Amino acid sequence: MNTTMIWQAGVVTMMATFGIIALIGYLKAKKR
Amino acid sequence: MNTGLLIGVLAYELIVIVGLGVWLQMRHKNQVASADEFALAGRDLPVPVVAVTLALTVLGTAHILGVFEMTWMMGSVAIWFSIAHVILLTFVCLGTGVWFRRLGVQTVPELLHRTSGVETRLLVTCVMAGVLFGILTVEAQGIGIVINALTGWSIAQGALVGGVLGILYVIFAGMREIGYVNLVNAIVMYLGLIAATAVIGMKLNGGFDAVGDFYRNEGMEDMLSIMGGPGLFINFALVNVVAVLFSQSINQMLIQPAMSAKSTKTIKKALWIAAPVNGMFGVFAIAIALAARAQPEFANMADGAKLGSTTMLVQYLPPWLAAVLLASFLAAILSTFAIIALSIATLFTNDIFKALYKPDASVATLTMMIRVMIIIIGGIAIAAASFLPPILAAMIWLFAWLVPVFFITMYGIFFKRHNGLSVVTLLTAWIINGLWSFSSLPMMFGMQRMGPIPVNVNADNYNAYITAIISIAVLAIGHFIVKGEDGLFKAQAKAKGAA
Repeated sequence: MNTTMIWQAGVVTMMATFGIIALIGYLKAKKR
Repeated sequence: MNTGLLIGVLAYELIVIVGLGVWLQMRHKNQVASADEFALAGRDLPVPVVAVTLALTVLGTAHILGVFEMTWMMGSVAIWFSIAHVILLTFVCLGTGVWFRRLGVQTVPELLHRTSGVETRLLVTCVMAGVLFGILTVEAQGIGIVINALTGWSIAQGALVGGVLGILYVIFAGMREIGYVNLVNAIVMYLGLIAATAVIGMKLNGGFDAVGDFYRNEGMEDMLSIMGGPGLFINFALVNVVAVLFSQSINQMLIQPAMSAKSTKTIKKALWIAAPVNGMFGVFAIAIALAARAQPEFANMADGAKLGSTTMLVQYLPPWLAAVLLASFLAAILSTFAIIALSIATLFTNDIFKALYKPDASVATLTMMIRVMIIIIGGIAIAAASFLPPILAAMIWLFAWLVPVFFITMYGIFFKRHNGLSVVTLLTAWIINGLWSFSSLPMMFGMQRMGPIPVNVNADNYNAYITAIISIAVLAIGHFIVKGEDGLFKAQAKAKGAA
């Protein structure tokens, strides 16, 4: 894995992090 | 370390940024803080400010240092990055920028809520924020490179110092100030570029003609042609146009300045300034990089591709001119850094925090949340900058993720609205994009992932083609399967007709 791939993985991790926060909020909002 | 140069650059930044900031505060002292004030300048910006902000938002590290780097490695074919952006700005000023402004939304995902549904909105928010984060790390790298040219510090150290300045700039400035600083900086930058190119032409032995001769004598004529070597048109030139046009035209970072314009007319008029201000830059950058690569003292530098051109500028130009030029480059990169950080924070605050967690949040709370997110995201981006992906290759890979968003947005505005189809299109394109990037899928098509340097048939360049083809294919098939409602503009026209 070269450094470019590590950086790419970091970007995808950031997408996933936003995704988790959004998912939690989405489920909470649905309950409300 | 060139102390005089460093002081000159810092003085420029302080005078322009703080000076304009104070002037703007005094002018708008009596205005009530609207919800749109910090992130969208109260939707009040005039033509020159909108034009230059559009031009400079997409003129950051990628244009300045990325074109230097790409020209060093592949020659004049790097101009296609510039050409792609002129096409992009035309499409934004006459198309997407106008449409988003007309619809009065704060963010791109907000529009997608109307054309598709909340699930599409959330998926796009997360991926777009991630893409913008990636671009932010590249901008941080760029700040590091400019500071390296001034101080000799490592790129990572420069990224830390410069990134902190960038974060401070945007949390205090907001969209309005960024816009006016851009206007002043664009003028200074072009005056500096013209002067610098003239001075370098005079300093070089035999001027720019000798640079051309150098490449011809070394058997590197392809470096001088905008079509580049064999295969570069498909693998680089066309990929640039596809990736840039089908991603940046619906990217929050470019739509946010458009949405800050006084009116749709403002955006259309802005094209006449934005396109040349952005487009001409590439020509100068390529001339400078080709000249630097042809000089033995820079050609053999460690990491010459990233640092050679800026080092030549610092060494060949009289100190005052080098200060002006580097200061304006730094300001251009800082403005891109600022708008991107602001866009990510706006997306999070509007489409996740307000939409899902606190729908009744006050203007003050939302503005505070935007500022907090700028600090958090900015900080992480500075840290990630030190992985130093090659700049243009990184940008093209990032843009590929937004290509499906472009197609579902156009589909929902002009054809049909169907949330399920949007979601399926996005997920299919993104999953395959992920496989293309991280698994051995490209090998099955006979392509290699060559890593940093794009050569001929390289899987890394193809992500934008892949996501484009898949998006179009899924939407085309889905079009005949799903019912859905009329596209947004069609529905609005019908409603007007019925009224």
